[in-house]
Amino acid sequence: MTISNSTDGDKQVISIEGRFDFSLQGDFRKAYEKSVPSSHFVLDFTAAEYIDSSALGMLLLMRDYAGGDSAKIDIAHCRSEVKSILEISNFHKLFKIS
Amino acid sequence: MEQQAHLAFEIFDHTDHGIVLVDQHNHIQMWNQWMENQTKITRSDVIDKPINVAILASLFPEEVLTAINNALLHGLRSSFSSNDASLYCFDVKLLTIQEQQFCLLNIADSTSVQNSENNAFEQVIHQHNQELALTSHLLEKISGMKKLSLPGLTIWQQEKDTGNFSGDIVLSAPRPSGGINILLGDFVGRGLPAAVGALPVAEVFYGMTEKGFGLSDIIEELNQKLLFVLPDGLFCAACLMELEEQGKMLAVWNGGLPDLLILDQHAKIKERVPSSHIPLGIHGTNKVDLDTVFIEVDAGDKVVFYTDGVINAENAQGEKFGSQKLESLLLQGSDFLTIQQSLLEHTTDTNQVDDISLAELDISVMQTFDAEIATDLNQVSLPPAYWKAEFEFSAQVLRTVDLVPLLINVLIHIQAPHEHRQRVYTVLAEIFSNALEHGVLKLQSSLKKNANGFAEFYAQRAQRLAELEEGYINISLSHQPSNDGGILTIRIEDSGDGFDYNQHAIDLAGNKTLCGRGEGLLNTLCKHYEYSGKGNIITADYHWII
Repeated sequence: MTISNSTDGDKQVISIEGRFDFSLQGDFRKAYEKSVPSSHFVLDFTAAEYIDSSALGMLLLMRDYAGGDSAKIDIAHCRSEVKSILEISNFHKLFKIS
Repeated sequence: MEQQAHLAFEIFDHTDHGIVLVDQHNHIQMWNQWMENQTKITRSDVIDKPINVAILASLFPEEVLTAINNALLHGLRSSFSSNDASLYCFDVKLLTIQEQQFCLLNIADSTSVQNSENNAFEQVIHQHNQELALTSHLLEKISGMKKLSLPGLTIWQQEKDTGNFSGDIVLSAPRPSGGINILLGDFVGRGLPAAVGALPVAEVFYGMTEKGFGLSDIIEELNQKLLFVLPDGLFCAACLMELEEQGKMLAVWNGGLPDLLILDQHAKIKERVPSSHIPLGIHGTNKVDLDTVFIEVDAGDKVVFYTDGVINAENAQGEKFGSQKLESLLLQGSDFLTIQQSLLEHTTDTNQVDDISLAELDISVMQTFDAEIATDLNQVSLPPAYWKAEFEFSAQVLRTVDLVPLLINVLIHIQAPHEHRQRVYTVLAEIFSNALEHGVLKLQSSLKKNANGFAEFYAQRAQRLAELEEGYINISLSHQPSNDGGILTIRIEDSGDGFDYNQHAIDLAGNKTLCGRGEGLLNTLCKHYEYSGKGNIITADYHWII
């Protein structure tokens, strides 16, 4: 369960590996607070295996940090099962999920 | 199963007589511990060498060689004492293992045989033959394992021409949620032990792929199995890859094999994955060793992977084929057959000393491959059945053990259709964390309103959990079949004070705060859930349609 940062052009990429749950909350927050709120964030979920409701909470907090409705956060390479959890929670209305 | 094979080898090394196995080209393939001790010649000195090599001349005089020939060519069994000054008794016979012919020699120090009953020697011989038969039976299981040949995966393998077991294996299997897993393994070591490692590898690979486990889990399990099964000094250089369901992302792990190459449609090498891990079966795994490389792949890409027998293959002048030659052939757009041809030409008139395996995965074909059909053919999971598992976790356990993944593991191993795995995890994680955080640890979820509150909540959680002395969580998982699938019922009772769940239901309608997230998920994912007792018991039903 780890988080790593990188950049892709002008986008700030945060990659999450393993279970995305509350145990990552400190590291996750540090990861996005490294960049200014107006950044274009990409959350790379390629290696994210499971998410739970605490992860949903963390995503919402990140969105608040990045400006709420004006936040630019993409969730990329999402596995279909993880994507279905996000969709059940209507997160596709809050984040761009692919 | 693999324990039996391992035991068989241990037994061969603890006998009080010699066991030597000779293949049909008269090369030695097994030389047990007794032989080493008796002759002071180690197995590495003689494995794959002809039986009539100089250092063995006094041990195996002419009559022994004749007996071996008689066994291999005519199936004749002979028992005799050596005529000359050496003190050995020989029992020589033909043995067939996996349709290949070997000559088995049981060799005893004749002074000890003279002193015992005639029967004893016969009995010992019989027992050892049984053990060898067991090993060959186990090895036959490998070819009996269900395999699906995947379109788009082209494999060429050539065993070294001593007629030995191939030390290379290529395995491929579709994953339940789509996509495929592939493994190429090169067992380093000689003779029978190398092939024995293939059985546990195949069992773990097929079994775990079928259950939807990820590469990291499979690699960890393979490493553990091989650590146990393989004798010291033997290991398996391997690469594993997972192509996800859409065929657009490839995960690769390479421990000890030459660079994996990913070529684009113009035959340019777009990505190269060198070996970055220690091969399997050498030492214990820590997290770092399981890291995989992720590569985006497109239609038109090809993945080429091979064992070092390819690049080390020598021609009559002793020159190696080499990775440069292989890569330049690929860059010229050579197809699989052309490369095969080139390799065969290179090695004409030489003895092949190592197994050769070359494989190519065609991404375009895999992207259109219908894993659904493949999955139906391979599905052997338990049909919906009645079962129940109950757990009681005390404060000490709650403090120390990360329980949700363990419980999910239990579920997966009994009954869990793969496509439901994330949803069941979500339900179980939600109910369990509520029981732990609000019930046992008495945390207030209203803290989780903002980022600082969130951090504070989890800091308190960690602290209270570390200090937890009293409290418990009891969990019951039960399952019953239904008309169209099954119903999993999760019941969790915690030692907390509960809450007014009737009032809570009213408040929840229209709740958009951070802490309401979980209830929303439960509402959607579960067919039904309800609180009871003081509000410290929740029972949730999850339906799956199979």
